[in-house]
Amino acid sequence: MQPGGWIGLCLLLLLGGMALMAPRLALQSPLVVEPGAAFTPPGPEHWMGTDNFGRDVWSRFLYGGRISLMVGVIAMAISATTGTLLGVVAGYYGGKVDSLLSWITEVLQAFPGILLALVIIAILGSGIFNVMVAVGIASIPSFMRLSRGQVLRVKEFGYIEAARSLGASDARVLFRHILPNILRPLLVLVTLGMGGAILEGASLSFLGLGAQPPDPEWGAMLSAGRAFLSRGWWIAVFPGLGIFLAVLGINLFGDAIGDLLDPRSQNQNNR
Amino acid sequence: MSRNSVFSRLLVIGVLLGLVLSACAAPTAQVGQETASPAAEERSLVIGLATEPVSLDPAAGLYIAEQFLLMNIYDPLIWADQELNLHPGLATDWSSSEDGTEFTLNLRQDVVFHDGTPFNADAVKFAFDRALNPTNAAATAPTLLAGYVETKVVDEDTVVVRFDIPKPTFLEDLTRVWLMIPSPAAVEQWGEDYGQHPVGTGPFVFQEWAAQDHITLTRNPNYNWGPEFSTHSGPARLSEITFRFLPEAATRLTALQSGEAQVVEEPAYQEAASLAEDPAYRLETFTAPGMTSHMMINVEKAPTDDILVRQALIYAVNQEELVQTAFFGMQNPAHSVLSPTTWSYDEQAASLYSYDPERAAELLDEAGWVDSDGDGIREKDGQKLTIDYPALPAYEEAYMELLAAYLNQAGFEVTITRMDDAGIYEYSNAGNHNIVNMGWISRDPSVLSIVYHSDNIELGSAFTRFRSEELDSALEQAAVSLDSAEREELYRQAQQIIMENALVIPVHTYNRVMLMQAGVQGWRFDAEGFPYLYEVTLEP
Repeated sequence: MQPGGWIGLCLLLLLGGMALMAPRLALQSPLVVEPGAAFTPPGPEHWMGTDNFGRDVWSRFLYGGRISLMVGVIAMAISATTGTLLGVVAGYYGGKVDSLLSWITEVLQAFPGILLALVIIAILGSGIFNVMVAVGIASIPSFMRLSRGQVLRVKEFGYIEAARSLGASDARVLFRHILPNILRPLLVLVTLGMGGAILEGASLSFLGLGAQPPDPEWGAMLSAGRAFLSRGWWIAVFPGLGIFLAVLGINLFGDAIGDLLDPRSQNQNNR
Repeated sequence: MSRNSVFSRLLVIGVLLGLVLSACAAPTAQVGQETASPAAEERSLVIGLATEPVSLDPAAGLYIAEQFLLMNIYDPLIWADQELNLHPGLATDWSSSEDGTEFTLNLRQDVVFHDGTPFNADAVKFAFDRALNPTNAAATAPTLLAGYVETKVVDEDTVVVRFDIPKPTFLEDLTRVWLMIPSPAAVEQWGEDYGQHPVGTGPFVFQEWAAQDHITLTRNPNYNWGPEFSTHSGPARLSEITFRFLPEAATRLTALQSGEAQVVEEPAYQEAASLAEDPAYRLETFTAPGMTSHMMINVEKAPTDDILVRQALIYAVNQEELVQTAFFGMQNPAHSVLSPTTWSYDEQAASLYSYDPERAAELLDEAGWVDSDGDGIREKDGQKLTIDYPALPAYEEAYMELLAAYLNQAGFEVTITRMDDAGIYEYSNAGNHNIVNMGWISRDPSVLSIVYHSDNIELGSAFTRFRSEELDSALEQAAVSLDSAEREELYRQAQQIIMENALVIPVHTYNRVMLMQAGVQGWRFDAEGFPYLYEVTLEP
């Protein structure tokens, strides 16, 4: 793997570990206010300072990371499973099923992901769970298209025909023979998509549609902190840095994985 | 999702971070331009406003931004001073019939509009006739003219205004900007576009309106009919006023610091608080009359259907600390449903509750809510003590989390849901909330009826859902009474009923906050918190 990939992996492990260990690493509850200690700059008592209500930014950063990273994971789980399933079905059966599913995908793809997510939030109502669902649904079309294309390619191969002529059921052919052979590009898409999902989740929370106050979330913290930049830069900068590093880490890692799994790349010998 | 788009977004985040860092440095970087600001000898003032007016036609005016400008371009028939006493304006004297339906006004004879046409009885008749059918459906003027029959022109300098109902407050209403007098010639010339080309008799003449940027007014050199309570007579002291529209609080503050503006309204509070300590700047605040910003408590939904729980909610909130933390002291703590600057404000109602966490705990214990599992949230019969709080960030962003934290400390679990205006109305009208924010700036306490009369529960904004004949009849009688002592007593009663039944958590008053260079002199607010710019001057 390229050095960038390792850096990305380290960033991800670091941020992921911090999120998992939040209750142990936090100095105090992320919700406790202490108006007398508002705008304390970063120091030994508050590593990332305190916000305008005197809450500990480090504790909020950790718990906020949990939510922000979770948005990426859950949204990708939703879009990858649903999108892949639909794509595989469309690609394998073809005909009217394919036309219908492809038509729906193209319509959905006509909208930018964030706009689609906004529409879904408007229907479901705001809240962090709905944001995960919305971001997930908004990324379904990419998975659907990719897996459909991959199935179209793979299903013409001889071993599929062999499996069929041996009497394998559709389900067996799909899940035993086709799916494993199209997983690689999907894996790359999941990794890169996760970065996008974290960004979209944070954007929606920035707009006030995701995590509801006083729950910490990086996008929401960034939004709340931007009003206090001149008085306490740390309130907005640390959550912003969290988003930045998480997305950077995922993209570096995803790129490296992509190169690693690319059949055309030199260090591959899987043909 | 393509890789490119992810990277371009990453780039956007990076750029944002860059902006964030550079924004910290920006104000100091621009202070050096101060010397380039307009020379003080010209006495031209730039005021940074948060919102742009929609129309400068008094009959179509809506709210704050309009009022700020209208009172400089036009004159009222009658002036109100800061204590709301009446003084001659375009009318020199007036009388009303005994039944309160007819008003005779004698007009000044030496007044001319900015376009050179004379002000006379025909102009008054023209103004009222058209204010009745304004171009804007939400305008205030028609409400003030309810029951209007006609304006009779007796002679050049005398009019009689007739109504078919008694109008106990008509003379006071004439002091408001919405009934100020425009030039009939200009209205006819511009037609529907008159709101963009206002012509009045006021101390300043409309010069230019660059949409989404600025409006410029220049001194009316002929002005010799200012109010008698003014600090001077003759033309205004400033030669020119430019109102610049700067929607972002931070931008307004930067404009002030860089000398681009000498006065700004509603600057970012935390910076304004520190700038106010600098002798180069001065802060002017005005506590608006009317309702305070308060939380209306739903008396029909559990757990706030219990008066003990409602009282505990009020005792749990530390308003003094809240306004310091959330507003940097720029707003005042509130302890009642009406603000202290409102006529008929009742001290007794306001002294019923103050921050007392122990009292809150006792009340909740008494009501049977105890924290049995040690998670900090009180329970009763397996139910958590949960408060449903739909919030409108536009008004509540600064303090909603703090308010929730105070309630949380008392053992409440608070669920905040951000909504928009329409969403909140629908949600609260259906009675789904436990607490919801309310507030209403008004010269008169009669606004209480709009949100506390039980007739407004189903279709209006009476979100406490409190039904009391006593409160309803006090509000009804006060609205029609012609005896001001009786009105006052009834409104005092209403405030006491509201506070005794623990229907509201008072939060803060609405203060108008203006930050200006120390050289801006002669600043006074009228009874509604708008400055008499006619008196303002700019010292170098």
